[in-house]
Amino acid sequence: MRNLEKQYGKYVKKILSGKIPDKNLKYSFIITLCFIATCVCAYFIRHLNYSRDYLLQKANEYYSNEEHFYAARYFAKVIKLNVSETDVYKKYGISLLKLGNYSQAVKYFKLASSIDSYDEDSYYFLGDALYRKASETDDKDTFLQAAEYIEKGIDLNPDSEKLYLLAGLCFRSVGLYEKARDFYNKALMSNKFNKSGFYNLIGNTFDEEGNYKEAILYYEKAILNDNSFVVAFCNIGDMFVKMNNYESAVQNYQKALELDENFIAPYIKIASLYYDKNNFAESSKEALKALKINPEDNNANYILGMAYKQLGKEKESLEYLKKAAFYGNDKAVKEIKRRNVL
Amino acid sequence: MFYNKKYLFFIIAYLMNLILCFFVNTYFSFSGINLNLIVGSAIIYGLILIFCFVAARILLYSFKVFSRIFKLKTKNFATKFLWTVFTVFIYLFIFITFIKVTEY
Repeated sequence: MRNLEKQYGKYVKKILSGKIPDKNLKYSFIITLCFIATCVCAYFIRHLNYSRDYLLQKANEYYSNEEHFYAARYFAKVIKLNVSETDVYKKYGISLLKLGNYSQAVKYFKLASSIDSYDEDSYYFLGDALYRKASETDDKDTFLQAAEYIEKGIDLNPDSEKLYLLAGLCFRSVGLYEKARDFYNKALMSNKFNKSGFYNLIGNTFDEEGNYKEAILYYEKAILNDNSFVVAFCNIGDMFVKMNNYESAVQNYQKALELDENFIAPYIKIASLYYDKNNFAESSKEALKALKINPEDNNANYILGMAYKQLGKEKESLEYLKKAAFYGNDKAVKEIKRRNVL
Repeated sequence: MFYNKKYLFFIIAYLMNLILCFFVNTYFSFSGINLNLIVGSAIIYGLILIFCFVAARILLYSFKVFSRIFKLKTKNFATKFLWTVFTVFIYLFIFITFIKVTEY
């Protein structure tokens, strides 16, 4: 060990005094030093040439082209240059939100709202970022925190529909259905938004609570306000399925189809109902109708595959199950795996 | 480069790679991705070594074919050629990545 130290000590002394015996080593060191110097120079030359305005212009350009990765990079550089404007913080936060970096987005929306506390947009985005963060971790407190900021936004601007929608989502996520309904009712009272949509949402809260009859009442209110609100018919159908009233369910799905024959959901729901009732022939017919509208629908492909399986059409069944798996149906993947094992 | 002291080259390349990893980290930090400096640099270093070695090998074989066609004398040349090209490729790779991740 000491010999090694001595040997290297001599070597270092020689390098420091510029007397390197090995020519190859000497040139290698020179090349490496030149390389490092080139990198350092390139770094500084590039960083000296740009002004704050140029960076801000670039950032806004990327932001308007929805290239959020580059937009975020440039906004970060602008902020490093001590620019503290609400707009910059908000846009940077939105870019971070789009990139899925919710914690950082929250930080910058908070900064934006602290500079301009009367900007309801900052509160909306802050609530949105917190909601998304909470959805990832399923954190109740963060959901409530998000709702708090959204309420502030509603106080500032009671005419913003997106704020009511997000507030409802936050409260529903933590099971506070009554609170969610309060916000939906506030939106309805303002008479400024599509009433059917909010009645439908109130219906959804009752559905999530397991109060299907009450849910149907609100879905019917939605239809009363707008006869062509197809989703409400489907939702009523779903409630009847949950109450084991299959006939009424099919009737409502068919009403939805009468209003819009290109709406795929009722076909899939009817096909699924027939499948559950062991009526595989009818189920396959309905699934085929759904596939005529959208051949790439994974649920329709799965139901058709399973119905064909029950009808003994193994080859066709496998074909549709493979399609369903390709379009992202997990049950189809499991079924194919099970068959391969067998 | 560093033909007689190859270990020295690997140490220098790794140290440069550590610095490069720091810049890569700041480049990706906006999307919430954060590499561990030691583990991240080891992974990037491994990838650079493999990539440059394969590229140098391909170039060596191409050179051998070329020298056979034109009947050039290449005795005892292969190892030195491979090492030189390998080191040049590593420097180039580090330089291009550095320029890319620090661009304005």
